[in-house]
Amino acid sequence: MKNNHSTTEYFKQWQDIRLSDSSRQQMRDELLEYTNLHAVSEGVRVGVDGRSMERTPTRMSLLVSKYIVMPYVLLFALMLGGGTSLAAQGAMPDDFLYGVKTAVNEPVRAALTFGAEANANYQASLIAKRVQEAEELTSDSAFTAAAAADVSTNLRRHTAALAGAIERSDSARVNAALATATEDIERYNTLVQHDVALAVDLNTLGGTEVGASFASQLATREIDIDQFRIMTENRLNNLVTLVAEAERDISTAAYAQFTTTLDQATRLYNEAESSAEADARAAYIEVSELLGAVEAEISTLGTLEIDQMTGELIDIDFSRVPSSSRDNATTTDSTGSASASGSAAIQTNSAVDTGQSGSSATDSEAAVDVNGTIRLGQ
Amino acid sequence: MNQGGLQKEFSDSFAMYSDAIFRFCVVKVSNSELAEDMTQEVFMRYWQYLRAGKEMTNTRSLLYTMANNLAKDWYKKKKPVPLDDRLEAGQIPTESAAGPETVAAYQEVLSVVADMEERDTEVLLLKYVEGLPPQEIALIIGESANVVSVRINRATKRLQERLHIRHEE
Repeated sequence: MKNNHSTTEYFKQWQDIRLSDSSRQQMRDELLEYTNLHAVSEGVRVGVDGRSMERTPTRMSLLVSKYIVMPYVLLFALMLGGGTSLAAQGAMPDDFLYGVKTAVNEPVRAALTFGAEANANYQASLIAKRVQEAEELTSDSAFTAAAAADVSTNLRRHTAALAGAIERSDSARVNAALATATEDIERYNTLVQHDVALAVDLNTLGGTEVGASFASQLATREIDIDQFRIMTENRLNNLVTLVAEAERDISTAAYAQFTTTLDQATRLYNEAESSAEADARAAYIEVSELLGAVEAEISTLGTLEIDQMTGELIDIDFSRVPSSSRDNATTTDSTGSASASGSAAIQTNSAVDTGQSGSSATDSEAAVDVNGTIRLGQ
Repeated sequence: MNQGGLQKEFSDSFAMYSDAIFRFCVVKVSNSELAEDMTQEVFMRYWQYLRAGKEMTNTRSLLYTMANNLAKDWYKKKKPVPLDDRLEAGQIPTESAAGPETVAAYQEVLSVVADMEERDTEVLLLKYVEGLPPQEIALIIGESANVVSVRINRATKRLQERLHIRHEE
């Protein structure tokens, strides 16, 4: 009896062993952060404690939801009038009627498309159309930030719909739609590589069952941290060139502003290099926003304020820009110098010394010579 | 299920089972700091499992099984440590991190558990502390339900002997 009693007590004490409140809280926070870093893709099936939940909609439920949604969509289309809808057909991103086209015309067609395979093909064709629109606008130099955001949003929607259709389909033929869509989105991602936030994540497509064969292929194509780095570096390169060109053209005050922003961007870039993946991603995005701001400012500077620039010495700390950028800046700028040869009066006066930062000063000296070419010497 | 829904489920499971998994890990590795790390790792694996959309019948068993596998990995890497050293730093949380009662509980429990067979202590924990049925214990430790029942009986006897000796001292 005594034995049994002490055994029960013993187990009770055992039960008192638990995580301290502080460690539990900390663990909880870290785990939630972990779940945010490793977010789920859509269409996941989960069962809990014996209850298995079927997540993938059945054909039946799909038809039902279609019948519920369709009358409203059609009604809305009728209210707007057939004419509007027809006129919207040719609308381009950022147009007023573009919204009608993407939010009414196309969903109506999609709703009238039956069968997962047909749906997948239709979504793929929409993706192709969006990318084509983006390319057309780019060639007309009309691909504004607003239009790009519009296209990206729509592309993401189509991609999700395509992934859904592929998942519902049991035919291997949807792979063709998947392949062309993948190619189109890749082309688009190249088009918008100046702004990583616009890129469309191909992983959405990779998560589907039929797309499993493509999954590994797609995984490597995801815009990963390295691409972020390369994109950001390219933008830094371009900006180094731009600033170098601008120094001949603009006031000291404006120039100082650019260099400050560039410094800031470079600092962020370096932070991104050393921080964890998620932070780096955010930092790279921030860097490209900063760079975008500077680029925009530089492009708005139409007139030259030559006199103020004359004889001024300006310090840029190029040593803080990654080495590859420096090389790149040299090449880009020396080719660009031909166009600047017309303004000889300024060039002779603008000597630039960039050897600023202590230990690395020797490898980062730059000078503007009489031809306006920046040399970043040894 | 979407991210939010899964996160909710994840966080519910954490609230419900984190202490039990932690206890299990403490028994497995006799070290509270390491057990905390293992508990966190178990839940990370659990999230990966949820995220992959794998079919799941019993969350509790799954978590225990994951903890058990982790402990096995740990034993593979671990070199034998003398008992005296195991009683040193890290095994029991300091009083600043946990209350004096918790520290007392650790000391009581671990002083008995320390020189018992691990396969005894794990079934005792699962059976009497967590109240799991033999079938579920069998699933977790990878034995048949019969083996588990026999082991529980023998382990209980051995535990009682030990407690008895201690009380006589």
